[in-house]
Amino acid sequence: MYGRKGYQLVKDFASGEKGHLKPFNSKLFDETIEECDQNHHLIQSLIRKMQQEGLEVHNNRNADHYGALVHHLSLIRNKRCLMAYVHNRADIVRDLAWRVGLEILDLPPDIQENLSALEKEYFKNHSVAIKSYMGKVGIELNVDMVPPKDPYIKIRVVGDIDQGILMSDKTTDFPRHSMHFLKRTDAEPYISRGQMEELTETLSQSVMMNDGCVTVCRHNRADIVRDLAWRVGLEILDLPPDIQENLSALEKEYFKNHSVAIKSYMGKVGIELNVDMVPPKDPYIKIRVVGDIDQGILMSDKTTDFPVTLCISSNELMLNLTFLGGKWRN
Amino acid sequence: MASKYYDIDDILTEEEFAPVLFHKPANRVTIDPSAETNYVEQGAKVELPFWLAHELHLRQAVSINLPASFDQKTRLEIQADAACVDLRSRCPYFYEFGCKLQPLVTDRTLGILLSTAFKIRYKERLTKVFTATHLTASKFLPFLTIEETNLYEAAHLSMTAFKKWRTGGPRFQRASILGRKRKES
Repeated sequence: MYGRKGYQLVKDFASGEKGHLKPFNSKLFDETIEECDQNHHLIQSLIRKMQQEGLEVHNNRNADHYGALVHHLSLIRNKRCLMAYVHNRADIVRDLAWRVGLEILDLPPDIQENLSALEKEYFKNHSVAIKSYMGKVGIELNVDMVPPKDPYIKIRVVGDIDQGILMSDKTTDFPRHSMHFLKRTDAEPYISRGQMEELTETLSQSVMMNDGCVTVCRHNRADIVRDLAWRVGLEILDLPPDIQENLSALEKEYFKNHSVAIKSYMGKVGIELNVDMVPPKDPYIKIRVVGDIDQGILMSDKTTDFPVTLCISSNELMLNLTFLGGKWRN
Repeated sequence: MASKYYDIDDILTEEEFAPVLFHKPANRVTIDPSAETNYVEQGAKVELPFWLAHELHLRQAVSINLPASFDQKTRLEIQADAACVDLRSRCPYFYEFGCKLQPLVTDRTLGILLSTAFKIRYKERLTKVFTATHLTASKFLPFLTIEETNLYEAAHLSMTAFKKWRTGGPRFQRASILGRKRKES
């Protein structure tokens, strides 16, 4: 009595984790409505009693009036609890549509269980409204708002995905625990639903040029591939073979495209940008050859052979050999 | 006030009990546990939930007294060391409830009590959340009221978001609305 059931209903909602839905408590819901009915009966009987005694209901403030008032207030209170329960659940349902997916079957089954039939109806109608709005505006609004650094992302499949899914550029199977290199836009809906997870492994073990020269502190593979292009060389065959092995076919493609972009940019600017930024004291340096270099290399002023342990001085050599030579010293 | 109609915290705050003194009798109402019939006498002292007490007060049927959570014992404890008082066991919505009570009760010092308690507790406890480890933090978390817990969680969230931004974690996450991940058998 007096708002107890409504209170229990609200408490049931609040006891779940914030922002998560518990199963729709239709038992308590119905009990609250029953309590409202009881209050309503008592109000009516008290008002009838007052009318039978011939008293004006509004003006006369006797005991019956206050009794009716208390019941009326309890009824209003239960109504408020019922409304708040449904309203807050509807908030969460709308949130689900925006964040997870617009199809009700995309939701994990345990969440689908927690929704009542009316809430599923609400979800469908809201999804339809969102879709028509996005269609008119012309942009997809429920994707990540931050522009990404890289259009591709590495993911691992953790949930069950059907086979033969059509991505924007290919058709692939997604067995469990397999890793793929996908476009961000393709992977995003699966990640929101928890079926894939993004991999951000550091490559410091696999791509370590030289502990002193290049320490890798980035996490994204594409970052490192671009780094390679800038720091080592613009031709993919210039990279040490074990690094070439570590790159996937897509990454080699990415390296080539990035090198082409760098070359055209440097051509337009008119300066070589991937050389040492510090102005040297002396145009010539003395070097020792430590790795295998083909014979008959063309330098800027002569053609030479580079047998190992020969000492020559030249400016251009410094760049290539500092990095590559460091690698092969290992 | 319309925006608070659906607010769950507001509903739960108003459910807290406050002792009232009835000025008018009420019939067919079984609120008073000491009465045998379903009738509340004039001059009866009853504990009512705040929502009921507030409305009856507006119609001048009752007058509200201070609940036990705000009595002299609590005041002395707050004066001694506000940071260590277990406010949640006394009243989980200590500040909100106190704010609602303040215009209705004849006690003038309630407002000052609330603001000093909050200031001291904020300064001592909540500002330390950025540097506290999980172990030290979990010791005093049960003492915080719901409002303070909300502040704590907000600070914690922003701290983890900042750390994630620093180290560059994955941008895409499983939607938090889906709940905790369970290991599928």
